[in-house]
Parts: sequence; C-alpha cells; structure tokens
Amino acid sequence: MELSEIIQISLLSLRVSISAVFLSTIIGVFLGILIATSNFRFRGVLVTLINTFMGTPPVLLGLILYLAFSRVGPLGFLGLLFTPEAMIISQFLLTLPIVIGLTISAIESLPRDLLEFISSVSIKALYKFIFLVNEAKIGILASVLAALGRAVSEVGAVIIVGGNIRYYTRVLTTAIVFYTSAGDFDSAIILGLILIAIYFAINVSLLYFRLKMVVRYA
Amino acid sequence: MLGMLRVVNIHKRFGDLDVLRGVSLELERGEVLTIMGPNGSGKTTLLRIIALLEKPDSGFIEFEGSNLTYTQECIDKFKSILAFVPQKPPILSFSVFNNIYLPLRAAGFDSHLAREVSWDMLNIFGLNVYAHKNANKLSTGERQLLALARALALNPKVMLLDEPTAHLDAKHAVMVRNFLKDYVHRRKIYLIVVSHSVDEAKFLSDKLMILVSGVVKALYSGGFDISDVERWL
Amino acid sequence: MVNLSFDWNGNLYIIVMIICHNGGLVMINRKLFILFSVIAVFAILSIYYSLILQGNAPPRRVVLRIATTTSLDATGLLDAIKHDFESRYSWINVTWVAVGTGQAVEIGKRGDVDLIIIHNRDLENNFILSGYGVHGVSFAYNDFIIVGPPDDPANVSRSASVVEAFRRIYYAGVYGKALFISRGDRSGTHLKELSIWNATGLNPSGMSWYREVGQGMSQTLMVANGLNAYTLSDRSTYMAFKDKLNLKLLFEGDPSLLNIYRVIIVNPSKFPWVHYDEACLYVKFLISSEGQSLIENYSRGGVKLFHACFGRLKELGINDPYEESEVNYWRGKLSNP
Repeated sequence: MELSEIIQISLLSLRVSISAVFLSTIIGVFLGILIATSNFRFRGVLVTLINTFMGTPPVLLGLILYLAFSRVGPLGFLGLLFTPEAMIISQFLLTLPIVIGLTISAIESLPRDLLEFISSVSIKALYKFIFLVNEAKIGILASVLAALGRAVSEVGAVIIVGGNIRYYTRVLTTAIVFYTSAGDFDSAIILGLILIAIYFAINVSLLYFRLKMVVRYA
Repeated sequence: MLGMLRVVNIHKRFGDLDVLRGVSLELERGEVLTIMGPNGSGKTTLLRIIALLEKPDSGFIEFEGSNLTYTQECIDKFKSILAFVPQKPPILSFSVFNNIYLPLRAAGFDSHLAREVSWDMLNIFGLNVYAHKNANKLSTGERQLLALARALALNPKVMLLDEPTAHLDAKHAVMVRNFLKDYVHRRKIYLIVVSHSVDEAKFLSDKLMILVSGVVKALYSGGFDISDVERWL
Repeated sequence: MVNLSFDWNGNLYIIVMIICHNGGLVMINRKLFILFSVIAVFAILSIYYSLILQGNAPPRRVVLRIATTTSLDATGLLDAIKHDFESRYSWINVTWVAVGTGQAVEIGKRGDVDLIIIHNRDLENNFILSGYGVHGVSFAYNDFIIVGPPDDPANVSRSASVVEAFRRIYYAGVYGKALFISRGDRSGTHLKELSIWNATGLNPSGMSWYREVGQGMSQTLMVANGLNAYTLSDRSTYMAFKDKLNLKLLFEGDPSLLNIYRVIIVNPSKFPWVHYDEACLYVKFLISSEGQSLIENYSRGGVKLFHACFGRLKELGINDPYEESEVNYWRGKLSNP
C-alpha cells in the first residue's frame, strides 16, 4: 500500500468525522441546553428517546440512509449516495444524540443554585446560553470528544452510504474492511494502527479534560 | 407609605417535614427585616419562597399590591427587581470583573454603564485588585463580597441575603453592614437578611423575626435587644 | 445590540457576538475559543474542498458508477481497466462499489449505478428480463476450483465431474471424514456452489460438516485452511494465497465451474439519470481488442487471473441466444464509433 494513499484515506477519515461532529456539536449543544433548561410535559420521554438513539447501531442507520438517498428513494434527487457528504450526514445523525444527551447531563450536573442564579439574572436568553455553556464547558467538550471517538471508529454507516469507493469514499475503517476481505492483512493492520493512534489521541484529550475538571472542583 | 411586601400564612412541607408553618410578615419599602433562628428552622426556605425559587403549599405573597403567582411570566417579571444571595453564593467561571459585568449585561445594562458600575462596585468592596483573577480562585469570604457586589450592582428593588457576613472578617463585615444600611436608606429598597449575629440585626434592621421550627415565635418592629433574642435561641 | 433569537448557529453565533462585545470581555475562554476556531476553519476548508475538489475528480467530470462484486474488486482488474480507460477518456471518473452479488443487483435495481458487473447468469438474466438492464454482454471469465486437504479424504481428485466431486464430499462429510466450508454470503461463488449442490440432489444445509461463514473468499479460504476442509474457490483468489495455504487444488475443468463475468448497463429508460453514453464507452472498451488483451494479460504475483471471452461463449460450451445477439450489437458499435 502506498504512503500517499494511506495519507489520503486518513485525511478523508478525519475530514468526514470532524465535519460531522462539528455540525452535531453546534446543533447538539444548542438543543441539549434548550432541553436541559426547559420543563415541558414530554421532557422525560424526549430525554429517554435521546438516550436510546445514542446507541443507534451504525449499520442500521447506514441502511436507512441508503434507502433514503438511493436514486429511487425520497432524497434521491439530492444525488448524495456514495459521496463523502452522505458519510458526513450519516455520522452527524449518529453523533447528534450523543452530544445532546451528554450536554443535558453536563447541564443537569451543575449545582442547583448556580442554575437558579443563571436563570434569575438572565433577562435575555442569549446570556443564559453563554453562562451555561461556560459553566458546563468541560462536560460539553467531553461529549464532543466522545462523539468524535464514535465517529472515527464506526464503519457500518459510512460503508453503506459511502460505498467504500477507492480515493473517494474510502476511510480508515472501511479500508480495513476492504483489505481484510481482499486478504491483504498487512495493509489492514497498518490502517488499523493509524486508527488506534487517532482514537488514542482523542481519548487522551478526554482524560486530560476530565482531570482538569476534577482539579477545578477540588 | 411607599409600598408593602406582605407574606401571608406560608406553609411548606418537604416530604414529611413541615418546614414552614403559617409564616407571615410585612415589610415596608425602605425597611430592613432580619430573620434569626436556630439551624434548620426554615429561614433559608422562607427566603427561597420569597425569591420565587420554591412554591409554598399554601399562603401567598403580595408585592406592592399585586399577588405573586409562580407562573413563568410572573417569575420573569420579578426576576429583574429581585436579588437573592444564598449562603454559598454561586460564582460564574469568569474573571472577578466579568462576574459583575456579564450579569449586568445579561440584565439589560448597556456596555458603558455596565463597565462603570462594575468598577464602582469592585472598588467599594476592595475587589478591584482581583479584577482579572479567575473568580473560582477566591476565598470564601472574597466570594461572598463578590456576590454581594454583584447583587447590589444589579440595582434590585428587593434584596434577600442569606447570612451575608458569615465568612467575612470583622473589618469587611462592618464595611458591608454600613454599606447596606446606607444603600437601603438611599435607594429605598426592601431588604430581608438572615443572620446569626445579634449585633448585625440590631445595627441594620427595623424589624426582627425569630423563626423556630417553621413557626414565627416573635416579630419585633423596632426596639429590641440582645436579651429579647436570647430568650428564644 | 444583541439579537435575541436563536436562529441557526447557536454556539458559533454566540461566540462571535461575545468577541464583538467591547470591554472586559476579551477572554471568555481563550483556549476553548482557539479550539473551536481551529475546528471551524478545518470544517470550512473541508466543505470548500468537497464542493470544489470532489475527492479525486476535477470539477465537471462525469462520475461513472459501477456496482460489482468483492471478488472482482479484490483482483485489482478494475483498477487496471480504470487506469487505461481514463487516460483515453479524460472527462470520465470510473468508480465502483464492491459488494456482494445480491447487493450489487439490488443497487442496480434502484438505479444507483450506471453499470453492474457480476458473475451469476441467473441473476443477470432476471435483471435484464425485468427491464432493469440492457445490452448485457460477457467479457471475461475465470473458473472455480475445488480445494481441500492434501490427503483428499473424500477422493475428490478422482471425480469425473464436479457434481460427482460434491457427492463424494457429501458422503465423506456424513461419515465424519471431511468438512466443507461455504461462503454463505449469496456471492457469485456461493450461488455457484448452491447450484452444484442442487444438481447433486443433495442438501447439505444444517449438517455439522457443512459450515457457512458468511464472508469473503480470502477469509473463507483461511477458515478452510484452519479446519483442513474442502471449499469452492475462484481460481484467482486461491492462486493469490497459495503460499499461505496448506490446501491443494483437487478438482478443476468442469464447464459448470466456469465463472463468467458479464457487464450490464442499467436501463436508462427506467432511470433517466444513468450516464448511458459513458457506460457504452466503458463497455466498448472492455470488449475492444485493447480491453480484451488487457484482461487476458492481467496478472498478479505472476499469476494470470482472467481469460478474455467476448464473443467466445459458444467455444466454452454455452449457448445463449441473448448473448449472441448482444455480441453482434456490440461488434456493430465497435465498428461504428
């Protein structure tokens, strides 16, 4: 396996997962804070649903999106099937519940009087949002890193909607599948090591931020 | 008479504990009420109910003629004129300066005014040297000063302070009491203070309530003494 | 001053607004802001990259999509074809999804690709007769072989036909002397294996000596190797792996074991978005003398993996009127470009 292709595959992996998690962070943190600070009748049901979707099997999501993006499917006109954009969308949907759910957790674990104070002093919703994000930022960041870890190491969603097309929609995980099924275990292992390195870097960052959080409240 | 805050027959129960049993009080604008009582007598709960953070099981509160309900709109309306500083006041993870500046902006002050007021309050309370320090790193006493400064900066009409000088050294405690007395006098606000210090009560307040096990044992309007208090505690 | 409504971009908007505020508010959280802006820049760049640069293809290229099988993809033949084809037709980007034969057909039936290349005549005929494909023609073949333990407990190497060989394996299995590993994944190989069992009149499914692994050819060979079992393999994969295996080639040559690859264009009348012209160019390339000689000479690791067979099915013992008419059709297209 050529070095240039290994680099291309790795960069594509990062590009797809980081873009997806970037989108799910923006939307997920916003929705998470909204849900955490609201108090409507079906809130409990909604939170349960979100927690359920956190564990969506990626292959199932991939299959559903394939049927949706397929030319004869409802979103076929978008022409997204077998493109990196479809992969980004699939990982976005996969990680969104994770970000929302963990953000809600992060907000809910803030001390009660802090939440009361923030509510009482913010006439404008914008400030409430700023204060909450700032206070829960370590928990929120942890949720983002968890989402990133999930995205980078999943294979089921991206292989079905992306098609594992060489140079185009082949990422680290799907490349491992290809080389394994073609019998080229050496290449598969190299790619696997890179994947582990990336995943390790993500988890080390997570650990770092968790430690920082402990120190802060000590 | 400029205005009246009336608390009428508040009952509150947590689980199987009756925390407040028929508590009533009246406070005029420009007056200071101190609540004293042994630990666990329901002082903080009473304060929280007046601050609209808890809903009473029965009884009501009337503020300048309007009845306070606990709906979201009512709470929003009173948010801006009410300042509640609990025993361990919450501090935002910002610099000391931003802990006053940002809440002011959040409350609707424009940036220029907010900056002025922030620096004023910091100077008065002697916190200006820490202006850019992370507020989480302050000592408990300094945090209390900061919370007070913040509450005062917001220019409330009603202030509810839960043991405001508990963690302050003598010098700062005196400073705070003087400031509060002057502030109440100038701005004609409603001030309710929970305290364990009889001196403080005597210095600051026009009215004194003794609360024991959720029941108002005594309510003095002016002219009370250490001995009166010690009778109940 | 500050917009109250939370329209689209909650976080980023707020952070931007915070930075625009003057006085005392410079470091809301410098590290976090730097982190966020790095990620934002990265995401923006990648969106730009994907919109403008489209992976390996420059803008305005036609992306030709093929659905094919993993075994064909694994040989690398398609990469070789792509290389020569694209150097001739610079505006076409040939891409393919390599999946199981069943999935390739389904993808074709949904019009998600322009061509399908598979190696199961029954499925192909069905595809064409149901109106999903047009102008299907065979262009390459290799064959299947039976591989197994070197001591050949079922005496497969003495068989006169593949049907007899499978019978011997069946009875050896029943008597506990042999194991058989099946692909079990509805791939071309698997379907071929099933058709042979069908011809024997015996049904091995559910028996303890018959193991379905549900995986690709190389993994299946590995499993067979580990268990010292018989299996049906395509010649190319086995040859590529021979050195790592203890299994020996025990039976070959039966006409039923021919593994013929056919390319079919997805019907443009059914799916108007199909890149019909480019698909025709691709097929023409495959069946042209240049393409056929590329296929005939293609080798890997010193082993030749395919035989070219455009127009030669009769020679191989297969009489298919549809095939013959399409051969004439494509010969015609070759001479009138």
